[in-house]
Amino acid sequence: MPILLYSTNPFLKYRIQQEYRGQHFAWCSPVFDARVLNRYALGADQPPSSDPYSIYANLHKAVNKNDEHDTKINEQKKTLPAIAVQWCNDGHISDATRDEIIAIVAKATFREWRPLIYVIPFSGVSGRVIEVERARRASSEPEYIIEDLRSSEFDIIEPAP
Amino acid sequence: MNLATLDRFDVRSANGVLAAAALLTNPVPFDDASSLTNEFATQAQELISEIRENLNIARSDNSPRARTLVDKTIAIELRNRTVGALLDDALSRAGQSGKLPTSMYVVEQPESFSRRFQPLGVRKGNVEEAVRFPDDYQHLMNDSPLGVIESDVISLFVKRVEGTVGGDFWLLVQTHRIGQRQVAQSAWRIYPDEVPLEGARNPLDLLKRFASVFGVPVKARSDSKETMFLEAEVVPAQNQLEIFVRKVPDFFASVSKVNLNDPTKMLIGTGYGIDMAKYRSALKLRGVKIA
Repeated sequence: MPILLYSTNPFLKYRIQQEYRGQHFAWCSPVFDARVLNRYALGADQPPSSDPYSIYANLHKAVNKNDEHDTKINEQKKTLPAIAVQWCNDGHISDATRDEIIAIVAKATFREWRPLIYVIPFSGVSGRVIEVERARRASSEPEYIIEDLRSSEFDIIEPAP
Repeated sequence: MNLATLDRFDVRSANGVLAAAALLTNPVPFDDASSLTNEFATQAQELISEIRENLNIARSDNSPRARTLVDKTIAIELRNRTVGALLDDALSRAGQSGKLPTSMYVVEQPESFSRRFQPLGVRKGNVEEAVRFPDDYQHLMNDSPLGVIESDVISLFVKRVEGTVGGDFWLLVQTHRIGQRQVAQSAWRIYPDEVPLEGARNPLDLLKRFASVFGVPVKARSDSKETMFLEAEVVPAQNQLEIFVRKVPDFFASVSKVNLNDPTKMLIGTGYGIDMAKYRSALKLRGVKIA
């Protein structure tokens, strides 16, 4: 089992999950940067779409360049409102709260989409880590999901801009 | 965009179909997307096809440009069909309850604030920076434990500033939180070698420590006991709430309050007074330019 898990997420996603649910859905990798690993190490073949460093680097670049066509940011701009609708339909939040989340996402500037790196000690979440089945992974390298990560269970790193 | 697929659903289900379409068009399913995508999978696929057709995107086109066009359309439709024209109201609610990211608040520095604090070495840019990009912050009175029905509430923001004269300090900005606006009320330079900060855990602790050094005793009612900092005290309701500050020649007084369900009472969130002459002298001693 890995010692740490890593996950890269936009600030606004972190903020909305923290403020409105108090827990986080995190898609994680046991390696941070596959490029620097030994060729035969576990995780060395992690593709960029699942590699926390690559996700960080791409999102950081898109935010710094105010790239309105960035696919990751546009995905999030529709996904977070969709998640708010799901929370509302599931009875977790009210219609008014759903509308608050959708309004925040609509008005957010590039700065709010800046990437954060979650560093998650595995031992604290081991019982709740779900190994992603092969069909949903980007490669044969391992990937994990934690559906209810609490803020006390991970550190956030935000390297200087 | 006119979307015929959604016409046959009630508002709630139509939102569900749109949301399912948003989640199903993600190339990597990185978010929890179970209940909606299970319930509306077929209808969402139908909707995605309709959107692509409306946008003249070929069936085989899965380019990033095509995906972005579809994503933007879904995001706009979701927004228009939910919060719609009430977007500003929703943002104000989020702002009032302290749920807006700090960078999304509008910072206002009224004339009365600038007149009082700029001569004390506070720069407009530093205040803006401290509120929108703080090192730490705290929205006070953002819940209603005592059945609050309206509010007059504050937020505190702390930012470390490299001082060219007098050393580095924490700039502590207190604002009045009104919807999406943060209206500056005070801004204090807090020097770690002057104010005992050990054990301070949040901006409110910092403010209390500052008041313990530069404050003047206050009380909530003429007949109550003096203290250096009023906090969470229920008092009889008054039109114009005032705290009683022990008289010094020049002082700054702050009191924040919320009304309660019981119209005969109100809750003082925080209340304190600062001896401005003492604070000014301390800044002067450090070599800070005082106008």
